[in-house]
Amino acid sequence: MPSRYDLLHPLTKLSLALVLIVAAYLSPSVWLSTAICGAALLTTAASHRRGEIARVYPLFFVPITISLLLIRGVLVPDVRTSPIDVGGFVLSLDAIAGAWIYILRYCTLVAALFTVIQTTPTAQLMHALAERGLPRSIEFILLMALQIIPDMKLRADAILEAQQSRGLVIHSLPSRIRALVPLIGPLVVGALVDVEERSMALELRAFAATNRPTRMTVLIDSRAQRVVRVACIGAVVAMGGAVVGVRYLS
Amino acid sequence: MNDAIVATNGLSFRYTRRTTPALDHISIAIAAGSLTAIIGPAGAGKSTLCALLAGFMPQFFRGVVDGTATVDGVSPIEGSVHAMLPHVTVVLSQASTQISGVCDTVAGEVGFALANMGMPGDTIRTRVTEALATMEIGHLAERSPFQLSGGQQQRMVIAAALALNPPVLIFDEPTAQLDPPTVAALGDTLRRLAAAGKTIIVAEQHLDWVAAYADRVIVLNTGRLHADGPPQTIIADPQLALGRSYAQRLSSYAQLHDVWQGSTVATTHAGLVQGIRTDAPVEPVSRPLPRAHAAPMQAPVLTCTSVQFAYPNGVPVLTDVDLTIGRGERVALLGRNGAGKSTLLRHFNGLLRPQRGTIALNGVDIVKRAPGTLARQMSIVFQDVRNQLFAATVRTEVAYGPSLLGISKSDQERRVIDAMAVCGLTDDADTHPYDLPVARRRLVATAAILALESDIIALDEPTAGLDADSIETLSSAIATCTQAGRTVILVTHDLNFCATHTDRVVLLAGGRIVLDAPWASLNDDHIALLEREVGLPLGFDVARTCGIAAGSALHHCLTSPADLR
Repeated sequence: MPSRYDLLHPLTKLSLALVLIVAAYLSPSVWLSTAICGAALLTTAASHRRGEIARVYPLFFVPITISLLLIRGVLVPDVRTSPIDVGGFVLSLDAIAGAWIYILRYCTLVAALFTVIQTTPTAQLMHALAERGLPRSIEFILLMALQIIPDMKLRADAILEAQQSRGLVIHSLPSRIRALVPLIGPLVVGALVDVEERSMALELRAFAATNRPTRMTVLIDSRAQRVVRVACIGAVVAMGGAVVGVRYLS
Repeated sequence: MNDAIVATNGLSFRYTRRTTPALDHISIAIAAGSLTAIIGPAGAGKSTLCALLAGFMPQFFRGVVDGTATVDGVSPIEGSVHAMLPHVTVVLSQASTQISGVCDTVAGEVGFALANMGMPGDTIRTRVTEALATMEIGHLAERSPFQLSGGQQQRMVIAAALALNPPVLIFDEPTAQLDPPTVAALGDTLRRLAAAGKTIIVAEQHLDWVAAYADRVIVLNTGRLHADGPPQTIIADPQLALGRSYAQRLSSYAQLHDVWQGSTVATTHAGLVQGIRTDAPVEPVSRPLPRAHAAPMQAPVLTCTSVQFAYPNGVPVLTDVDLTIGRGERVALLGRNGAGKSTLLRHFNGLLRPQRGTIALNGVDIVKRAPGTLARQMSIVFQDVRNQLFAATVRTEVAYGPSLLGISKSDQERRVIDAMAVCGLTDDADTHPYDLPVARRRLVATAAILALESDIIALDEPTAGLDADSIETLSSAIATCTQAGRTVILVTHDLNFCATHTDRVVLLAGGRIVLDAPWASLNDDHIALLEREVGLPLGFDVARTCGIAAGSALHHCLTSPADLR
């Protein structure tokens, strides 16, 4: 069952994510960055797919956290401030705090955008962008590219199976090189044949028609959501203005 | 014909860079509210005619058009495809490539054309709901089109055509990927649409289906009009139909064995039921039991023991599958879409590994062997031959497999020559596989596997899209394999073909083997189970309708026609 967050207009979700990402990028304080990252994680928690999404987060977060802590905390420590000796390595609390801000920015970016992507069907997002003026050809190219990727993956797997069924063995570098032609050949030829047939399919779906297209579904929107979107854009502009002001006017 | 909704007069079309015309002076008139079948061998011009009537020539497929054509009063030659959509649309044979790739739901895909034509959202939703209901896929409306099976995708693209609601609907080989119950359901749907006033044109190879559902049959050969008439006349005469339907062959067989009344051959199930003499004294003429069943199974080539397999999402696909297949056996592996046939087949040569249980080829456990190393023992011709073909000529394509086996050059050459000869490809040895008609490409893929001379050869949907000549060639190739002592496994929806070319049926349902017996020893319970799961071969269906008891000599005569060709 979709949650209230899931049912928000795609642009509302995108606007909220944008505010969080910009705020995290501009935040000068560890505590503020932590709060912003927490807010991004709250959007995940508000989704009905929170379990699935949260299961992927360690793959995103753990390697980056370890790398940044090592790079900022150990390899380039600012030993002039609060140095700590850990078994021959000199750590710096301030350097770790600096690394932590980078980690929080990254986590906010991933959590905010990944939650939007996972809770918004691509076609709905494109529909929303098309209503705001995204050219139809760009919408089509983006959607087709996204939808075709899994299809191509399945095709590549099927080609590998077909060639293995006639004796292809891949065990070493030379064998991998020899396998390229029988594996890539059907993929390319198949894709070229598909292009013609898909073009025919698009013709039969009136894609070349010149009249203004309509939509089968209507995106749910509300006055409150429109206000939120305007507020989000305003907040982003205000934050940008504040940074410019602080940097260049003071 | 005054009430013709589709008419051509001296219509010819030659593709750019081709010297011979694909269509040559075709003059036909098709009445509104009819179901017309266009038949003919591969390369006859069926698909070209379908595409031309839908507005693809000469704007999309470049070439030279002569003569005239009108569909619902509009010329498809002068209009574009989208301009013709209010009048006519065409459903192509390969469902997977007719998915626009733009919509993330089935409902969106079905309504995509209507949206592009600028229809109001309410109208689109109504038409989509009706079209999905007609094709009985309303429950799939919110699924991704890419997550559907081949049969479901075919239903979806037909629903997309129905949603457009044009007066003329053209179908190019619509049954090629469908299982028998869906094929019958499609026939009933098209008949209903014709009765409701739609004009249906179907280009089809499946002569039994044409005989059962068409009002009229147009036969094309090398681009020319070869014959035109009612199905009873055309399908009954192999000279006119350029091929023989299974019903026609079965009734000729019954005549030969004196169990037929009357002088005319039947072309439909009803005709066979009327013609069979149920009181005829019959000498047992059934084929002998398969070798592996006639004698104790000394040397099983394939043994599956308690095989279990589930996909990563945890859904079980195979459960406790036990199966032993002997050398030289011909086995039909049947089951509905999703029953686990393809999954089981992929276990036979190590493409998939069982989560529990063992699989042995020639007594050796293969679970830890790389699939490619098993090609001498087991090889598979997959349904989509585009995944296999890559070489510049038929000869090099067929030679690729043997070149990987580590055998001598002379043996490789001998195998290539033999395999091409068996598949009737000797004259095409230096042709690019993609320059051949689709049906012959499938024979190239088959020859490439036959050249491996594996102990077991499995063919996945081998007759899909094949014309009568190519099916005949395939039959000979299978016969050659069995004469050489090889085991043949057929995974197919073509029940008549597998009843004629196999000795034993293995039926999968819900990931389990629910029936494993020789065709010749199926009892009434087995037949009922088979009918419930996948339908019956025509001989079994006719025998059951006539009330002929399973096990009787007459039943064997109809269901095990040993010399039926």
